[in-house]
Amino acid sequence: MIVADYPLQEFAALARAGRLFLRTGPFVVQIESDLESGIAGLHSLYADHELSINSPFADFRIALNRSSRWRSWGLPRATFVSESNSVFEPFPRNSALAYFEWGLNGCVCSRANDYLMFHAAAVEREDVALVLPAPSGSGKSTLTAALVFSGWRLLSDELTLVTPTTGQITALARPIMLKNASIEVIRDRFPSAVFARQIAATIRGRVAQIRPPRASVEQCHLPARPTHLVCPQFQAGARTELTPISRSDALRALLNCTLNFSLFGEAGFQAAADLVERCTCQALTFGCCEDAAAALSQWLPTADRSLPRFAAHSNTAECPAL
Amino acid sequence: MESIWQRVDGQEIRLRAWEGGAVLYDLRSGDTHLFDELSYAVWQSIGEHRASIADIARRTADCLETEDDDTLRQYVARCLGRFDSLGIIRVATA
Repeated sequence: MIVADYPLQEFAALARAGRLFLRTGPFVVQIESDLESGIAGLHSLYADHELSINSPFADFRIALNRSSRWRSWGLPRATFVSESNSVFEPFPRNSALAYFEWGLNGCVCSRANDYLMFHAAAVEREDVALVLPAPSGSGKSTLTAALVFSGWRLLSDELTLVTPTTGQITALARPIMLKNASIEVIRDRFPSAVFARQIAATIRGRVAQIRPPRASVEQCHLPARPTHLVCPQFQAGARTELTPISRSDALRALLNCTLNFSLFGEAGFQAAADLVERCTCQALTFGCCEDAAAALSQWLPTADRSLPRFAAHSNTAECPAL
Repeated sequence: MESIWQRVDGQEIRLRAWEGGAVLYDLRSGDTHLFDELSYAVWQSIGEHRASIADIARRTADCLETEDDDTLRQYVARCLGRFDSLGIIRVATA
C-alpha cells in the first residue's frame, strides 16, 4: 500500500493514533500527528511512498503535534518530538511541514550512521549518477528539481547516503524543498510539479516543497554508483560555466560537505576518495537553472534528449534570481 | 643555523594524490589538508627522515624537474611553515 491508497480522512485518523509507518528510502518512519494541515501536506507530498499501519520496527519515531504551552504572538504553535526529544523550539503550526522535513533530516543525520552522509544532492539516469555536494544557498535544490522534472531519477535532494564498503548511493527520494524565488522558477517551468502549500516566513525564508516524482520513489530500492561529481554555485546574473576541477579539489569539496565523516575515520576517507576517483569532476557556476541543466545535458552522456528543451526556452535575462 | 625538519613522530597519515594535487588525512587529529601539486611535491620531499630546507628544496626540484633556485627555496620555506602550523611536521631536535 502507498499513502495515496488511503483517503485523507483515514490517513489523518491513523496519524492521530500514531499508526503511520512511512517507508522513505531505507528508513521506516513512525508518525504521530494531530495537525490537520500538516497531515494533509504529508498525504500529498508522500503520496507515492509505501505506508503500513502496523510495523514491528521503525527507524525513527516522530510526533508532530500541537503545542498547548506556547502561543507567542498569538500564533498557534506545534512541536516536533523524536524519541522523547523536542528537536526544535515550538514553531508556527503553519510551518509544520517544513519542520517535519528538517527534523527528519536531523534524525537521519544523527542516527543513520551505517552510511557516509554528505550534504549533497544526487540524481541518476541510465547509470550516470551525478553527485552535487554544496552548502546551503548554492542553488543545489533548484538545479536538482530542474533535472528531476526533466527525467532524472531523484536519489536525494539534501542528504546523500553512501555505503562505505560498496561506494553506492542509497536513494532517499523525499520531497524537494525550494526557497524564495526558486519556487517560482520551478513552478513556472514545470507545471506538472506538485507543490505543497507555500510557507511564507520560516527561519530560512519562504519555502515550498515538491512531491518527488513517482518513478523516483518506486525505484528507491535501486542503489546508484556515482560517476560524475559537480560542485554547483549559483551566482545571480552569472553565465553558466562548467570547469574541470582536480580530484583533490573535488575530494576537499566533498569532505567539506560530509556530515558524519569523523565517525568512519580512515574508512570514511578512503570511501570518499574512492568515490571521487571514480567520478569525472567539475565545478558549475550558474545564474539560471535552465542554462545549467542544458550545460549538464551537453556534458553528461545520457542527458541528451529532454534537457535541451531548457535551452529552447532559455533566456538568461528572464531568469529570476534564486 | 639551518632548521632540520621531520614529520611528526607516530604520525598516521592517509594520502590520496591525483594529477593536480592531493588530500592528506591525519588520522590522529581527524583533519584533512588539501595540497596543490607544488606543496605535495614538498611534502613528498621531506621523506621519512630529517631534512634541511636545502635538502627538501633539492628533492622538490628533482621531483618537479625544475631549477633549485631562491624562488623555489622561498616557496619550500613557506610550505614548511604551513605544514608546521598544521602540526604535520616539526623542527627536529638534536
